[in-house]
Amino acid sequence: MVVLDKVDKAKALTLKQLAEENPEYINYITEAIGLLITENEMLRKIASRYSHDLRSPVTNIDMLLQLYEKAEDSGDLQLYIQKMNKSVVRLQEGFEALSSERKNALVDRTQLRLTFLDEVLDEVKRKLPIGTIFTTDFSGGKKIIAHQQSILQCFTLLIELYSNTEQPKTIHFNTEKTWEGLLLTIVYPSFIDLTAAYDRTVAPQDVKNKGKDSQLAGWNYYFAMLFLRAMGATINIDESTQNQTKILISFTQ
Amino acid sequence: MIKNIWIIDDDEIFQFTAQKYLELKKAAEKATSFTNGHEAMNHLQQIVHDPDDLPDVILLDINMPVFDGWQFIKEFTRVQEALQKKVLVFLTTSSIDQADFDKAKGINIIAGYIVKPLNEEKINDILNQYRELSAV
Repeated sequence: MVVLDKVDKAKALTLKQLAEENPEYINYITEAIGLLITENEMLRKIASRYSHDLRSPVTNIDMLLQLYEKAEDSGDLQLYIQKMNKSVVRLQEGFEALSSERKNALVDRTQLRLTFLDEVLDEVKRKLPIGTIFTTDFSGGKKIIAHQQSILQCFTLLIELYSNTEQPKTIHFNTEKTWEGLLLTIVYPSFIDLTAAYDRTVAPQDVKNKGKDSQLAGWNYYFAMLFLRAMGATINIDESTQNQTKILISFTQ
Repeated sequence: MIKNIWIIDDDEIFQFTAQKYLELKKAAEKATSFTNGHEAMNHLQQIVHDPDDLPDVILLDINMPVFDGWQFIKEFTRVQEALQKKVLVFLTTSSIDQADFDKAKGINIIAGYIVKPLNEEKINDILNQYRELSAV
């Protein structure tokens, strides 16, 4: 928990610094801080559940096993087995509760709506400078259950991160069906450094050395990651080479 | 051997196993269990002037509904001066949260911090502290 607090304080400080240097980020920052608080609260709940509801039956089983080994009376043996069974049931209940909390804690489920990726993309396109070319292949599907405002902000951020570069502005979107839902791949035809600002391991002076564009691209990616994570989706940089940058977003449906 | 030990824990299985351990180790003459701090505090207030009934050692769980270990410690600090004997309070917890450990370190009436599971070594530690106190 102490570690979590330190990470949050460091992150909040960096976000404050970012807001001072780039006032245009203020809306994202406000929402991001809200998401960080929610996420931290959820991690606290998980840590407490782990500590009490999961660890407690495990320690009971440990103690009962030691008693079982020393037992001489068959009545005692029977009693220890009964108590062990009870502990196993409690452990199972703890895991089930943890799993459902994990799913529900991230986002207000009532705000999730059926969303069409192509419609979101059309809306984002309208905000972008003319000349950005999109190629799309939604053959894997385009329907997801999502928080519409978050997905819109996420798409805007991911597209904006490329609009400042001098490269040909062609972005490719495609979807694939996976066993757990839908995988969206976004491909940019050049290298974008996405690690500069969001990476908690990068020291501030190193971030500065990477240049402002790189810092902003990193922040765009960081905020997009937060918006997606709040919906239970995951985002990864699959490939970042001189020729292309590939981002994978996995929606569990 | 400890004359009178209290186990304050909402976990019925821990109460059972702790009592069995104490019995097997012949560590206590009398062990009494309470399911929350409130129940234990009510009983303590009734026997506050009766040193024979007062516990010598308390094993106190931190995470309990109704009245948790920290609340019990707070109330216990208030009544402690009226007690006619020194009571050793050990926090027993399944929590491995460093924050709980740090909080416990700052409270001087806590004699020890025991992370569950309870085992022979931990019972020996409790017994050693009890013997040291009795010798004084």
